[in-house]
Amino acid sequence: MNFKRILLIFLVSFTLLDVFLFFMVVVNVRFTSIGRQTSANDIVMKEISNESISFNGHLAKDSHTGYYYSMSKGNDTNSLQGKTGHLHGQTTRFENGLLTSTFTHPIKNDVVTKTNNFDRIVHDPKKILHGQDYYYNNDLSSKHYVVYTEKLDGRPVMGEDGRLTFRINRNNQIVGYTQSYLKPGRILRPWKKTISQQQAVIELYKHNELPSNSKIHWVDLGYTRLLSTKNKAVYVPTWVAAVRVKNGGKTQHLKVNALTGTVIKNDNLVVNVGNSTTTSRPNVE
Amino acid sequence: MQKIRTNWLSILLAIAVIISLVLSGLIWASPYANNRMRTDANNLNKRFTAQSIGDIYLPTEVVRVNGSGDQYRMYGQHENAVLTAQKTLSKWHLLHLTRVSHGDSREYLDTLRTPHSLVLSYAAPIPTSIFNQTFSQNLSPNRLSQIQRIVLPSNNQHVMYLLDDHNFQVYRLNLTKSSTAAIHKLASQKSGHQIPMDRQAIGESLFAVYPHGVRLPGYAYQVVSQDIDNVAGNLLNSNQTSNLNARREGQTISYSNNGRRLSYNEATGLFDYVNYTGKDSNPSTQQLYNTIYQRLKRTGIGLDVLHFDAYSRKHQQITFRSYVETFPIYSENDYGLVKIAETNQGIENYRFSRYSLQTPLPVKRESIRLPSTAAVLNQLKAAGKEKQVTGLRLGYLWQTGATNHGIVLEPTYLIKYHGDWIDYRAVLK
Repeated sequence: MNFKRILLIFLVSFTLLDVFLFFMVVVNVRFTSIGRQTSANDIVMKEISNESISFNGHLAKDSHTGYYYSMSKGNDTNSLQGKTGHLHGQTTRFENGLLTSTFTHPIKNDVVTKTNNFDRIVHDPKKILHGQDYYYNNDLSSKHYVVYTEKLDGRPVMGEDGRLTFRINRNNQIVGYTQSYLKPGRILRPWKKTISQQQAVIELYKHNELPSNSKIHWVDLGYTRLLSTKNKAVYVPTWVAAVRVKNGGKTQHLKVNALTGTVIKNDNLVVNVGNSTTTSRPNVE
Repeated sequence: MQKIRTNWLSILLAIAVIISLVLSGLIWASPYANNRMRTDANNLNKRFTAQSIGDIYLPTEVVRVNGSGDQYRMYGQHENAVLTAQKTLSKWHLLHLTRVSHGDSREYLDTLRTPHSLVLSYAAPIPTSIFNQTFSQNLSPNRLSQIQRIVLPSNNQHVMYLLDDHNFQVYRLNLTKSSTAAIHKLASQKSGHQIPMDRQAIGESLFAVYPHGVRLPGYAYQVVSQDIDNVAGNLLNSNQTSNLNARREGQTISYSNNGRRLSYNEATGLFDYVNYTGKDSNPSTQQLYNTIYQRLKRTGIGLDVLHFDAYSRKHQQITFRSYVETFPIYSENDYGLVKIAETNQGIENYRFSRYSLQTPLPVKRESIRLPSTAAVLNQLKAAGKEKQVTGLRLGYLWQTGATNHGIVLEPTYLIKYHGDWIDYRAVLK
């Protein structure tokens, strides 16, 4: 074995090593740009798809911002009750705190310009009180119920309060509406970042809220009530997911607190504040 | 040419060897190479929070300086000043890091009064590498090892400052291709409140002083509590404390599992966790900050109101404290507090309360009036206690026993007395 042969063997070995190392570097570079948490997310997303839980397109991974809001507790009937005298062409009554109205003459629903038709009605102060505070909500609307909701920080309020629901009969006529009104509230703290749409779905899955073999129709960011104190309600940015088991079943609206990632099961939680002993204590609203 | 012909084999071999050294170096230096595939099973059980390392090691105090050099402490603005400044500063190109002053407290205080600026301060200095991670910058830790305050221009001046209280060091940086419009917008917010303030150097320390007294609102929060099974599940890898060896000593119960011990004090609600199974190590300050953040996530505590508050080199320990609207929260039983230490022998130690704050609650707008800082310092002097005072800050008290559902926090001055932070009224008693 002469020197040249030895050199040749070394050359071949190192070349093979270089090819292998090059491969490793390329693989690492590709993975370096992906954060560590993504791999944990990817595993959960795979499990979700293995349980036949489907959704359209991809779930977004970007975060948004939102505020904690202090709002009036429940429907603000006072803002509506004294003012029904301003309304024309309808008979109103209050039922369970909701303003329920029936139009004297049902309005034909022009399907082609549906939203324009409703916008015209909503922004007519003789037809709807505080109409300028409501915006069309596609997620909550259906063939027989067209829903408008109030907004906080540009996002729809997705709870029972702050909602305007029009009823459409089988003859495609708008026969009346129910309305609850939320007075403008105030911001409690500076904005915070929210979790992403994908993280919200993962949280629902981890807490066994997503049934197997179901479809997620939409997941949107809005505001819902988280809890109440004696006189006020706290609203938070919430990811709301519409989930229905395939092959029939009712659509459920599942909620995730977008600031903390916790699943919201019950928005009726009332938080009492302990009694203070110091004289100069501020009172909780 | 002849030489290449005869030695071509050796030359090629030399090239191949150099290439393999370079590639090996790239792989070794790649920070995620080893961690990539290791899916920590524990991570799957953790709640996602919007917090990342860049959200915990953040400045907590925001001060606006007007055109005349007057300082105002800002709080309650709707635009989150710290997070917006973080977003803005992360896009800036910073050049020419130069130390412009050290050892001169007057220069230091003057820099903090730079007209038309926004000053962000950390509760304690952080290593430059953490600053780099938080603000996507690339400053050399060799030139500037730690940072405590950031002076951002709000009027298109292309200069900013980084300060370290230790030895009153001031570093200047030039801004290129960077707009200060967002900082100006932050500083000019109409929402929220501004407290006139100044700063004083007393000995080696800097004090924020409030010459006209302070009026601060009460803040209310929903209190949440972790139960011991949950904590044991996170830290001892066992959800059922009934399966573990338990030992009771007075009001403390301890559980052990494989070289790890979790103790819980029923009277105070404090958890104490020790992990003896780590390896010897000698982490740098930067590594410690990173490692301890990872440990923090493991405690299962919501990070929503927690902020970096203190660092003890002696104990290799970092304290994370709950804050409300830029003010730290103090309590006798360390509610809402997390202390994490890692010794050179690899022993991990976590001390944290089961109680933490979650959702803010609306409070009727009644504020509490606090005296001027000078009045407080004078009272301390009159009581002969000013020599033991090494710190003074505005903060909020979380009353002992206030652990049910909703609580109200009361503002006060906190005094660092004999090394511990106490309500100033308690010191004067």
